[in-house]
Amino acid sequence: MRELTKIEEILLLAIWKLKDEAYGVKIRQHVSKVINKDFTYGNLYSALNQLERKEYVTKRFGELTPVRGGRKKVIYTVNEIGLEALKASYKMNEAMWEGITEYALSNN
Amino acid sequence: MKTRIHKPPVIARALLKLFDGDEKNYALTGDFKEEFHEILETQGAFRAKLWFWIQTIKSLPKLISDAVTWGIIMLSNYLKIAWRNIRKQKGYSFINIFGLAVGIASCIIIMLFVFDEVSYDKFYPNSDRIYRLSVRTFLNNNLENTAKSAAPVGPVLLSEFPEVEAMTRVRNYGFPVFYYKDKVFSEERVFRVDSTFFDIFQVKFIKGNSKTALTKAGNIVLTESMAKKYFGDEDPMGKLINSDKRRDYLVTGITEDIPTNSHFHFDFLQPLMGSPNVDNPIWVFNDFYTYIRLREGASITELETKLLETAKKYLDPQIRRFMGIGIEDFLAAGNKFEYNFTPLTDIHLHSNREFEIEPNSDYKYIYIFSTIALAILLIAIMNFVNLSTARSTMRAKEVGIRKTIGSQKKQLISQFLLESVIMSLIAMIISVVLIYLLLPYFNDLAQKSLQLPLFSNHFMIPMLIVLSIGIGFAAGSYPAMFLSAFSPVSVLKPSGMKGGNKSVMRSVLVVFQFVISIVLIVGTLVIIKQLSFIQNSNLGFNKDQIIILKKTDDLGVRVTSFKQELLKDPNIISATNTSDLLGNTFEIGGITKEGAPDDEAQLMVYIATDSDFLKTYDIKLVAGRFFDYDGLPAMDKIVVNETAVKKFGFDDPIGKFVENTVNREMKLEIIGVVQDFHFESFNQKIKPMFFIPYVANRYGKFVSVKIKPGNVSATLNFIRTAWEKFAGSQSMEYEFFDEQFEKTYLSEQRTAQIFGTFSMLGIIIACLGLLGLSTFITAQRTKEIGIRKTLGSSISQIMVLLNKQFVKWIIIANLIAWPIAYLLMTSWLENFAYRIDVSFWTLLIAGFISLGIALITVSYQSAKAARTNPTESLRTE
Repeated sequence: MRELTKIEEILLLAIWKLKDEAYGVKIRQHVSKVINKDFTYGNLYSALNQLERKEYVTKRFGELTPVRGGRKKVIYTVNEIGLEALKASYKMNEAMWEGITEYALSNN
Repeated sequence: MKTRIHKPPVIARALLKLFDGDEKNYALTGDFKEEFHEILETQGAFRAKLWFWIQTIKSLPKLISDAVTWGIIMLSNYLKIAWRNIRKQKGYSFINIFGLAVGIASCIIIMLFVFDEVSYDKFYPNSDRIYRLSVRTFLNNNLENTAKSAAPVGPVLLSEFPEVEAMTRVRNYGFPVFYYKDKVFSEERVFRVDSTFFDIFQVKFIKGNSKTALTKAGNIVLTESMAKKYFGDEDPMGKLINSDKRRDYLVTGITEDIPTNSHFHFDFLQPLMGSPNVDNPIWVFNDFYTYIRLREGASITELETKLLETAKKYLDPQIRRFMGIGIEDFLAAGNKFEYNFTPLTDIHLHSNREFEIEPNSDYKYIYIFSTIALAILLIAIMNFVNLSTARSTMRAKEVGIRKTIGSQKKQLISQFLLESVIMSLIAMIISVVLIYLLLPYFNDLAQKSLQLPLFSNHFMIPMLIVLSIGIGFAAGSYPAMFLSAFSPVSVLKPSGMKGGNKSVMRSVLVVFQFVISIVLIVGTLVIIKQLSFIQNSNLGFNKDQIIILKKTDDLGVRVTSFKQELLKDPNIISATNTSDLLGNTFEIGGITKEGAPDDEAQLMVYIATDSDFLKTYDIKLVAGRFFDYDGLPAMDKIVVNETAVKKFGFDDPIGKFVENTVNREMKLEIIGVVQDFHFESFNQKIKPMFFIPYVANRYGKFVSVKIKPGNVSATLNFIRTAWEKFAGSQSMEYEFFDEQFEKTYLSEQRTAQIFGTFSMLGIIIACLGLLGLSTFITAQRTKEIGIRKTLGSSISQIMVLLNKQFVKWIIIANLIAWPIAYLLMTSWLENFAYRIDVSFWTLLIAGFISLGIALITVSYQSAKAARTNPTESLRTE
């Protein structure tokens, strides 16, 4: 299994956290908050399509709300493969950051 | 209400939709709207709209780049499948591509021809301001519409009209023989021109100065190829070239050769100054071609009117002298005298006057040929449509499966369109090769030097690519719709598609193709018949076994003894002097009945000849006698043709007197009447004409020698010896009259050949399509045929069954094509004074030809199918 890129990691985590609310609007808002800048829809869907192609996520249709102009929500779920990838990523992060604190970094 | 008022910005939405591609990111627009509303509720409409715009603009780069990447992936996938499909069915692809290639090649060749025709004379700088002056007179119901005008008009135009910027006159003074060292050639394209010629026709000079080259009487300018012909590698400038062993000319300039797309080509130019009749002040002898260049912004129609007013001043005394009445009375009597300026660039296609410098073409042929080009292309495209839809059965399963696994209709359409675009691109490449192979033959046929400017014209390749994509779309869109509309359920059921052999569209297309083909066949038949009618009709004279000796006027009075010398050879039946050749345009003169008022004058053409004319040309005398002297003629006797008798209204013309309008004192007695014969092109009605007696050193230009068949070369040798005896070192020029006469119909023959060739191509392409179609239709009925055979059908019964449909199509096509062809060809025939009718038989023959060709084509397939052993055909499933 290939390593996740940072953006894949962020997205997968967002989807995993948001659960049933993991659709375009919410994912975008969540990610924008995490990276602390506007994450555009262009980038969002480009990345989501990649995740889908790599089979980390599956999607299903959600409900149709009046404000969506006739378009159902598409809700993403992290599947087995995605979860494995996240776990691997977590382990790697843990290994990477072992013994390092923010304090140590800022007082170098 | 609030939500209705505040909608996301329209343009931004449209942009999103354009690049998002609904299917790909289904939820994207929904997400946009949801968030828009969120902001609308909390921060107001302005903020919401602003957000929508900014978000859209920020998202677009990624959306676009994704769409492009995705597009390329899809395209390469489509391409792969398309290529596989093309290769999988080689026969079908070959018919499709090859038919299209031949269609495109024919179309492009014809278009090159058409573009060349409409490009005539446009290469001259300021060609839009150059005009040729010509004269139209209408004298007692006789129309003279000549390309020439009188000697003094040009200089008057230049001196009296400020809007005329430049003027030159052009005239041919016969065909000299040029000598340089050991090189001796007789030349035809020798013209004398005013020294301002190069100011109007700005031909490039390779050597010499265009302004001074023709300012001295003994100068001569020649074209590059003539310089090569006479001087080889020598530098011709300053050398002397001898004309007819009479006079030397100093070479003062070499010009580039005149491009083929010019209405007039010279090889040699000499100054006009000092030549006979250049300073002739008579305004009614139209002997010169006059060209002018108009000042920018001036009106040519105004000049036309003003010129006529000015001309009246000069014409008045002269008309009074010739006809006894002034110009106003002349015009009041219903006669007409008009000046016309023809734009230089219109001469080739729109001018069809008498005495054109070179035979022109006709804009009607441009329409005809363009239509043929389009028709051929249409036939090829229809083949494509037909074969693709017929093949639908083969691909129905593919469509069904693709749809079941989630292909969108749009994607299927793209796939099929791409396939047809690829085929048409391949066809385009093949057609370019075909054009390169075929253009030399076509150029030979059409007497052109056309080239496909593939690399020299930067627009050519992009244009061809766009054209093939266009053709691909035109040919592929119906099949694409048709194929992609299959429903997977019906297609994938074991009973399958019956493979629409009842398709209405297909019947319409096949019928339409054959309508075009049949019209082309009828056209070809009618043209061939009309031409052979012209060539084999009784012209009223016998054109065979006659040798024409040219430039016999150089013999002067010795020509009479020369003639006597010729008659010593028993192989020579007779010889006659003439001032003109049959088939050429004759001189024209005004003539009236004795004592009749001037305004009853008739314009009649005339020829000067001697007593042996009738015998040489086998022309019948219907009354009186012909000239019967051979020495000093009686100048007051004339012979007329039957049409002239009718024109004069004589019951018994013999012994009647007529008068020449130029010299009314001299009464001319009609001593004989000859049967009408076609002395001009057969395309024209026989005009009234008269013969005047030949005078040795006044009229003679040609001696026609009638010889016995066989041993022609010995007779020719005899003639040559006789010629040398009288003409000394001057070379003898001769031609066989029948060959010379054939040239009169050269342009018609050429047109017929081009038409015939392309009709044939059209028919071949249509048959190619039919072949493909019959292959598929019989393939679909393999099982049916097998069963029929097991049940006892004979081969012939099965063939009838299979061919029935095609026969039905061809018959319907014939019924539609006949009236169209009849109308088209009848209107074409109206160009000819003597013509055949489009008979029912012609239509019927065309019908049988089309039926025959079609049956041969489809029978190949149906015979194969009918002969197949049923065990083979029933095993297919």
